Amino acid sequence: MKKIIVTCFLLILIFTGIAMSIANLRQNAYAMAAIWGTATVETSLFWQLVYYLQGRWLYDNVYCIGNPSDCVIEP
Amino acid sequence: MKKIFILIILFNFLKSAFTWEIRLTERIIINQKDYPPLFSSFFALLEDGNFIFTDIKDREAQLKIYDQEGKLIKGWGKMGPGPDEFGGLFLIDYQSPYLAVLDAQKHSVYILEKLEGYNFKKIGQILCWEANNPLKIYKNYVIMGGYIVSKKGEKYILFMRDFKGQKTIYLLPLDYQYGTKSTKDYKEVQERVSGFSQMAFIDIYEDTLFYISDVRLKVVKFNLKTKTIEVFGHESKNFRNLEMNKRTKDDLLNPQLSRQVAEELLTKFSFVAGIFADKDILGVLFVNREKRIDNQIYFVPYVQLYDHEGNFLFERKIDDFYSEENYIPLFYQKKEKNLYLLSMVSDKYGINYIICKYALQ
Repeated sequence: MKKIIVTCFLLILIFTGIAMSIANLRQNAYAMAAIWGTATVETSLFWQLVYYLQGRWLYDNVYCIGNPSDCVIEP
Repeated sequence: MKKIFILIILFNFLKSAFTWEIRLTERIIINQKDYPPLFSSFFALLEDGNFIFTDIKDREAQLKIYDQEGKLIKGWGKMGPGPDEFGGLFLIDYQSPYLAVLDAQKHSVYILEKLEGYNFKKIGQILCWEANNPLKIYKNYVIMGGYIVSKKGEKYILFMRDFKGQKTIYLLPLDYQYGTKSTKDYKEVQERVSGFSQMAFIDIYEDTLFYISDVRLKVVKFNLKTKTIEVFGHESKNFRNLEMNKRTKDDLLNPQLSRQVAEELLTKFSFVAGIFADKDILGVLFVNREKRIDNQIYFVPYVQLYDHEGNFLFERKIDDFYSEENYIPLFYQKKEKNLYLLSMVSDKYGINYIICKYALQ
């Protein structure tokens, strides 16, 4: 009886491990990536707020947006 | 003499009969008094003629519906970290019954389905770090603008993802960003315009997508089925291309000079402000900062019309519209040929939003 319980317990552990590893593989899709862009002046208050919420603010009214060239923001 | 006179009358009649006209038919002032004031730049039109706005600032209502008198009739969608909360909505598109909204903080597009009344049910969430602007629903996909690199290492500025967020289709290669056709031409324009905020605009008619950047009057026509690309555009004496040299760019990034240089650039150059298409025509809006009221100077739009082959038809200044932004949020009713433009003008109490409805005839 004990043997069956231990076997079941081990099997549950193995399958949980496999399930966790599969779930972990998907995690990289949701991980924060570094933001690459071009240091760009934004004058519109609306777009300043958009870029701020996106984590693209560099300094003053300059944001790291657009095609990657001269700025990067690490997470 | 009589014959000449008749010919002149006939010529004028034919000219007026085949010329497009854009006429202001309605002005809707968005009521900003009864509620936390709207802070938005994007809206869409619902089937019943009411308007749906995103509000990037409002912590209690990230989505708001206004009626045709500009009165708020519903606001919902809290701001927060939860799964059913939003992190700052900005771009919006509505193609009945689907609504797509882009969330700045969560880097996601939400797909909502309109049910009875003004109830919306979330049916999908697409994670997209690359998405910035523009945003359009096309069949069961969402077309997004933003720099993206394919698995093969090719660079694109437009892509689309299905409602489940599983399939990505790459659309417009980077080289076409400014209506340019080669890497060399792209780099030349990039050198002159980068560092100053840029936008892009798209509209779709059936399977044809029209794309334009805000710094050049060049339309890219992209067939979503065959993937063929054409570029066209009519140079206008009213459109002044943004050109910056190295010194201007350095000054622009200098905190002491930045604001002054940016103001000068906004006044000196023209910017494409929107695009719209239906079965007959493609319309391009561009703005010049030329209307002075008191101490403020505002942007005034010009409209260019083309046929789908890229033949230039018409250009006119829309002098009964002005705004403080160099882009014009718009919604175009393709069948009815009604163009809704959103004007944004600040005063000491806040931003005044006015929707101007134009009929294209």
